[in-house]
Amino acid sequence: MSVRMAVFIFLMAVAIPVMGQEVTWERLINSDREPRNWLSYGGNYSAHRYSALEQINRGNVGQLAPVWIFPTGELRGGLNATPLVADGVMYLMGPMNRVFALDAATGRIIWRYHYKLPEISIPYQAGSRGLAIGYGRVYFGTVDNHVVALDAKTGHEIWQVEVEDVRQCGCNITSAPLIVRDKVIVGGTGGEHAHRGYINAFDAKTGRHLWRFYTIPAPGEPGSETWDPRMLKYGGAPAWLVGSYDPDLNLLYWGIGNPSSDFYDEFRKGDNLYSNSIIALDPDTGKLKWHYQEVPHDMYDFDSAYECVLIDYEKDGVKRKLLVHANKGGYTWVLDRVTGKYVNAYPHVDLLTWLKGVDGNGRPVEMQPVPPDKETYVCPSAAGGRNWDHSSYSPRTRLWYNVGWEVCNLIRPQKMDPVEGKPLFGGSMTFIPPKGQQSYGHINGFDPLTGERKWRYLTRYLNVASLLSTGGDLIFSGDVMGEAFALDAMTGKKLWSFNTGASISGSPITYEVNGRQYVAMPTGMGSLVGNLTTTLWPESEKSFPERASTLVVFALPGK
Amino acid sequence: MKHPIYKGSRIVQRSLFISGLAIALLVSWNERGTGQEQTRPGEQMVAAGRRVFAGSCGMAYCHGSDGVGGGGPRLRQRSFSAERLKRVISEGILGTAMPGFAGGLKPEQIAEVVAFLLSVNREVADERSKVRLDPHLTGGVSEVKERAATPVSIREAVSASRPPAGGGLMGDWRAGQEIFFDAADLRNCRVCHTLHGRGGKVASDLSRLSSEPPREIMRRLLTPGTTHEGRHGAILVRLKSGERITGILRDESEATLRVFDTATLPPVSRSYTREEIAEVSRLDVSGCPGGYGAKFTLKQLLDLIAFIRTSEPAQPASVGSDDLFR
Repeated sequence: MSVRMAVFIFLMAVAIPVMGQEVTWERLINSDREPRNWLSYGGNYSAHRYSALEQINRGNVGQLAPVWIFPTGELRGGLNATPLVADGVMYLMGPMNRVFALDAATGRIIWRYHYKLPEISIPYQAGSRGLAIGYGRVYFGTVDNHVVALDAKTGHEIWQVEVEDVRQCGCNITSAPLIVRDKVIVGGTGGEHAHRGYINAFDAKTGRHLWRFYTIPAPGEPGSETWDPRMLKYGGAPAWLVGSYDPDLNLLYWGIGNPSSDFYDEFRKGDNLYSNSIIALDPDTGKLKWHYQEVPHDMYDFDSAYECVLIDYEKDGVKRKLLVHANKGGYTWVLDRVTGKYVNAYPHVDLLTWLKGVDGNGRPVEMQPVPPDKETYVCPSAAGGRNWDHSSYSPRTRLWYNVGWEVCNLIRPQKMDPVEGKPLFGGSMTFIPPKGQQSYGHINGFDPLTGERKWRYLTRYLNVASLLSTGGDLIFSGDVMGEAFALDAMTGKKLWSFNTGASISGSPITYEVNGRQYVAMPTGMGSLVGNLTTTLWPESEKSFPERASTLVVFALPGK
Repeated sequence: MKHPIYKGSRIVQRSLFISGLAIALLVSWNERGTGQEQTRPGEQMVAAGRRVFAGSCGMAYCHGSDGVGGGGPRLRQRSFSAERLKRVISEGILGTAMPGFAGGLKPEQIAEVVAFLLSVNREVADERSKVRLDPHLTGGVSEVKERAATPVSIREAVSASRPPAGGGLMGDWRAGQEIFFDAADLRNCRVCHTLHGRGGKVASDLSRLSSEPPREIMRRLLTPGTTHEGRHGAILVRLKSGERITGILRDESEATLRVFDTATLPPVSRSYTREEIAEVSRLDVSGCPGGYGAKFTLKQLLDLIAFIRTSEPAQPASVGSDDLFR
């Protein structure tokens, strides 16, 4: 045996167990210990979107260059994805539920799975935000409302189950599932349809349905008195993004969306629980442990569906288990995640008309009325003080990074009768710049508890992509005109940018293969509010990028 | 029509042609409708369409206020035909977020939205007559096939159940529809069965039962185990691992077999390679869980039979307890 052969065999013996190692529950909930991988949608189960990798840092990020690109081949839906990476393999879902396993160092396809969609019209969007991996499987929800499990090695289908006929509910799954021990837990859309929102848990091994939590109580259940009985079946309140999980408390946190109809409230007098709330569930049973409603009786489409960022906050020797949550209305609520009690609330945008502030329990005071059949000027707009594009928390800088949008709208509620599974907006809104000024956007570094702003980076348009923070003290994101960029996580100063040629509305990640750090940036507009830029800045239309659905991956040269 | 500023403009000619065509079409639809609409002036129709549009389509997630564009395509300053607009609004566009509104909107409301959209196209063409019309008519929707059939709208129809004869119970097809499609019941018919274009794809489409006599439908509801129809009969898959799955065969190829595991509902489609399978055997029973005699009251069973027999909402089936003895 030659020396070369012996070395090869030795390397294979070492490499195979590493490459073939299964993603276990222990690995998933301790993913911060292996920053070379990006194992779950939020980067960890606390939705931090942070990686400790530091090969790319403030000193050398200026040299960052593309090393491979991957087009999904399907433009309808752009690319909203958060790719996942485990042990050198990237799992990526493109629009129309095209799933790929790629060599994370080269982009070469290992396997592909194109989900067969029936001939239906797809509600909400054709793009998907992500998937989950664990137990040698890849799990995802489909835009026709199924949940699917694939073999992570081969891409072969293991099981699939229909949650509810999309033609009946007008709802589907556009976000990643969350694995909690032996369960795959999935939310769904439906806030703009006559639909009753829910979260479902399936057995990760068999796909069998285990529990369902309705986000609107049944008649007679606690909370049902906060609705007109007519809307208990149709009041929306969808769980359209993905939750977080605290393994020490065994609590599953999920943000719940707006009630239907969005603007017209004749049929839903009352607080409308658990719309616009954070709920904490026992993941074993699906039972409610606590809830906190941010926007009672929402009239503005101010979902609470966004990520629940779990932060262990320490100051002056006092440790606090916090849940930090950006509401769509431009206000951030901070809760005690053990009890669900209010801790603090602060605005993350400059212009707010819909409330004067909050009371001692965090409940909004002097909420702006929005009467039917006339226009009311409300800031921020129903597109949000930001949209779903996720925030990031760096345990190094102890700053929470969040996007803000300064856009207003004229809301005109209009009567609309609910018909099961049919759209139920109940009015319209016209996006306009704030009175007397141009619209603008920003990225901020906040103290997550107090809301004290440490820095702000002004964006020319609205940033529709998620933020990623790293151990190199960098913030990565991208803009609607196609520029991927990095900011200094300490100061917000821009340190690097690259024109990818396509609007960025997905969620960048970072990972490492064979000692080299990569940054993966999904490109291709996939956001429902993608057209806001050309609406608010008509001059942007001439240079607005074409459609795309491409992952662009960067690294330092020669590493 | 005299319009000195835009005289000779091909765009204006085109938009005038389209709106003329639209009015002709609208009148012809309305003639088939209530008849009263015929005399309604076009402006009223456009105004009504603007209101319907604002509430249904004008969300910024979709086409934006007055069609300026939102998450979905811009509808102003385009040159859609009235026919295309009507078809797309009614049927939706497959593979996109555009739903079909037939059933959600009344036909006259759809006609109003079409009238409104044609009007904003004309307005914009007038305002910007020197600007070329956007040549991209597809808005990203041309690549997908469009749905052929308009879904059946059951809700919009009127029930005309026969009054009970001799004091017997009468089935109400709308109550049956509620039972069949109740979204909160995770163990009801629609989980597995399609009926009138909606529902699960696991078991047989029950629409084909609509012409069966009520007594036969009742028999099947009470004793589904006695009727095993072809591929929907139950099978037992025994795996080499020792696991056993009872369910309904979904499909099979040389390499794999997919079975709907009906141990829990909704049924789970589970895939196995031939290497994993020790044995597949057919069970001489239906895959349907049954137990409906205990689950439902006689009135509810009659409601279900009435619904199954109502394939056209305009012609609701009349089913009474007396029919069970015929």
